Amino acid sequence: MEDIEINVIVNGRTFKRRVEPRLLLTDFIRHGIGLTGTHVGCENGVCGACTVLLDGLATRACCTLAVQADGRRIETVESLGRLNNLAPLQRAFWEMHGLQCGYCTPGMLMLMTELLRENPNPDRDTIRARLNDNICRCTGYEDIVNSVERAVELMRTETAGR
Amino acid sequence: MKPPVFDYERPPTLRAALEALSRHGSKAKLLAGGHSLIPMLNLRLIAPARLIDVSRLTELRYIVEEYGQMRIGALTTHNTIFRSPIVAANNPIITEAYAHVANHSIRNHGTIGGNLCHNDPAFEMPLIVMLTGATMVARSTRSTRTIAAERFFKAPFATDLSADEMLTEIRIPRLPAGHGYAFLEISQRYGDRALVAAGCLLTLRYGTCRDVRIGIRNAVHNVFRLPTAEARLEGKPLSLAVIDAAAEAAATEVTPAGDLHADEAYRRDLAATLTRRVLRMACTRAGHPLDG
Repeated sequence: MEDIEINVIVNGRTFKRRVEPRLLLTDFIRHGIGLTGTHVGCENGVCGACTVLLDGLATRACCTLAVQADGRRIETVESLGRLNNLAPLQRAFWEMHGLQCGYCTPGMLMLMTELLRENPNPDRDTIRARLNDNICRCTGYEDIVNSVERAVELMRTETAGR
Repeated sequence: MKPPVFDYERPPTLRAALEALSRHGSKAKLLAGGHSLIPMLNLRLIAPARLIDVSRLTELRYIVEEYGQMRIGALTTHNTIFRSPIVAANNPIITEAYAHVANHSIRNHGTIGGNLCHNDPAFEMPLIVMLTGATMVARSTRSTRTIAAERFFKAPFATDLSADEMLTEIRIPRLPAGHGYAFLEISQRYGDRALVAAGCLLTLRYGTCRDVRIGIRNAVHNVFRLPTAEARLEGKPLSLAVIDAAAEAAATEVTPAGDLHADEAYRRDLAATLTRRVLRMACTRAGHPLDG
């Protein structure tokens, strides 16, 4: 078994690292790069807590090897906003109580980021269908759906304000 | 958990991938979408010595319609097929079944070839290629051969492929215009594994059922067509009575195993109910709505 050199673009910055082939993308992001916003839940593809965007597509980082991300573009929750400058989607989750313990939230935010890019005006059923991907054990999902609907409003206002 | 140790290579072409596979054979696993393989590694269910990453072989990502059939490259992702207007126009049962395949994030990366080769008894696509009469193309450095769907699936989690062979293409015959089709599945929550899934294809000529194909997933030991249930309809004038007869036949013809999620009796019951429902839907879509 030989370590392999990879170049991965994470949130716009290129990271060159030597990794074991068996290193999961979750662990590469968390330990290799030190971005701990991406959470590890079930580690077998069921819960979606580790969802990141890989070349723009919602991806379970626990079902992806770091070597598979070589030369590709990763976006994690850290790319969205900062505490004093939240992205509209994050602000909406805050306002509408779209989280309780927060463990699933980074995955939810990245999953919905992909949805809102492909469809900036999803109806409630579309949001609910896409939320099927990820598990939340606190909210009962209603507040998450409300948050995404609120994000649509916020983003529309923001675009109109420009 | 974390995967066990393995070697990794990413051959740049199909030819190089086949050469690697011929060198390492059963010690290696092909990595396509990875969404079955990597969980199995994480759970330490398997420990291959080497992964051969074929996920970037764009030469095996295509959907082409020609000469009365669709050819789908084995590395085409689920979402590409799910969203393909060619697929929806030619074989709408595929699009209908895809609504039940895993979830969106997994469909972003999972491939049709990986799905078929994994042959999990709850997976939908093996049933679909069976029903549509598809042919698999398998390549190795020594040969290219075609395998009929009914010979491809050997047992749960096993296929007819040799250790040095790779599934490269799925050929699905175009179905006649106006054919009836339906796919349904019951799972505990939407997107979960199927407790039982059912699909059917048929043609109605002057009210008579022709070319009836009924298949069940996760309630038969292997694959998946139900000849006795089909015979209850084939060549018969369509009526609710023959549909009920086919559903009854399905319940006795399936050979379900009981597990934590559904016992044997419940799976038989689901097989009958789903058979009745898919037949009614298919007949309605073929232009003969049934009352009652």
